[in-house]
Amino acid sequence: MQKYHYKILLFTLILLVVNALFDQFYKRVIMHNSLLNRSERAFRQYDGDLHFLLMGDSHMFRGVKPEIIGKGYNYSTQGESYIQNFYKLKQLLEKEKRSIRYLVLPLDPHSFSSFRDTKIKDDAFWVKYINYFELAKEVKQRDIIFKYFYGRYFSYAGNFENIYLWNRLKRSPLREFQRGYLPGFQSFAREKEKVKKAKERAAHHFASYEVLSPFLIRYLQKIIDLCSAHHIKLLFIQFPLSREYDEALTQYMDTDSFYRTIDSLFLDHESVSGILDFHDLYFERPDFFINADHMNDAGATNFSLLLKRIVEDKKVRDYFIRK
Amino acid sequence: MFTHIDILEMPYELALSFIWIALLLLVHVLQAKKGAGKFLSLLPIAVRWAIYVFFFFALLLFGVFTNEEFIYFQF
Repeated sequence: MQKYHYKILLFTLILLVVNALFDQFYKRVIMHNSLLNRSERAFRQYDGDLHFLLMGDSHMFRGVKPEIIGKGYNYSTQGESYIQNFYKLKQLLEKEKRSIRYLVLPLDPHSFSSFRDTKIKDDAFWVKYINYFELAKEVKQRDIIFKYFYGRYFSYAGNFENIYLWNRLKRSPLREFQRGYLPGFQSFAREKEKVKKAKERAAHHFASYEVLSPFLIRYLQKIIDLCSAHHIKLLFIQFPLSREYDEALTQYMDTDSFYRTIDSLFLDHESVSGILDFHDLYFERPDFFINADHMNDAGATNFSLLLKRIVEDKKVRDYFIRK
Repeated sequence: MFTHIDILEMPYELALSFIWIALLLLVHVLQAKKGAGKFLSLLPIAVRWAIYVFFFFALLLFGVFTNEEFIYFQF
């Protein structure tokens, strides 16, 4: 019997050691050059001001070049929701004691869609920011706690495809981040089936999802409260969209009523400076987009020049702002 | 119905499918002869444990726990 117990103990020990080796290999080697880790490294190397901190998802990530504005940092990553924004911001303010004057966030139709809410990817990265136990309580989804364990101890689980693609692409050149911004060069103007592609993007964001996820509303409220406690002004951006995407949205929502609801929920807060509405700015410029709803480098350059004018000139700001 | 999926354009999925099918067939053959359990019990302990460890981690590595895009390309 003693021998049997000894064997179980030894076998468990072997499993734990192999697991730790796989987990560390995935975190240190495979994830090393993932977009999230590269973005994080670039941010940690930046020693300039955080007068304007831009956070958000791919609309911000692909859309704003702080080098042109001359201030701040684009600390957004792809697919990031208000939940992730909140925990990242909380860490910067409360643990790292960073000083931020303006926080700029996207406020787009898909920003509140439940297609994103608690479906957080890459737990091995996010586990250092997100308190999964608190999140599970907030959204009343107990299985979120498992994400903590995946992120902390089983980062490789279910990720064979990433290991395979890493091996194939490990020698590919990597583009440098420009104050957090990473350019995209495709052009939506060359797309022959713009309406179809725009409908696919809209379906990706809204088909069989809630337009207004209560969790995302709650977490944006928490961001506003956090900004208020740290005397940070909050500015929202409605990013430029292609005409085709804007039309495709009507299948899922009445956009006017959507924005009336959003305005009534968030605009009254003292720390909210307003919403800069650019959704129709480039309806006639498909060449400014990668796809139906993401700007390419030409679009981001033009858009950032406009943001620079807005920062410098109150009259231009008043033209676009909704408060 | 499946015109949008071209398995020949997914060489690694194809190769993996063949490997797992081959393993499945091997287990079937062993079951038919003297039983997989019996076969394993005849192996030296180090080889047997190596097989257990391999399958344990193969399940974790190849299992589908989330639906994610490749970490270098996410939008």
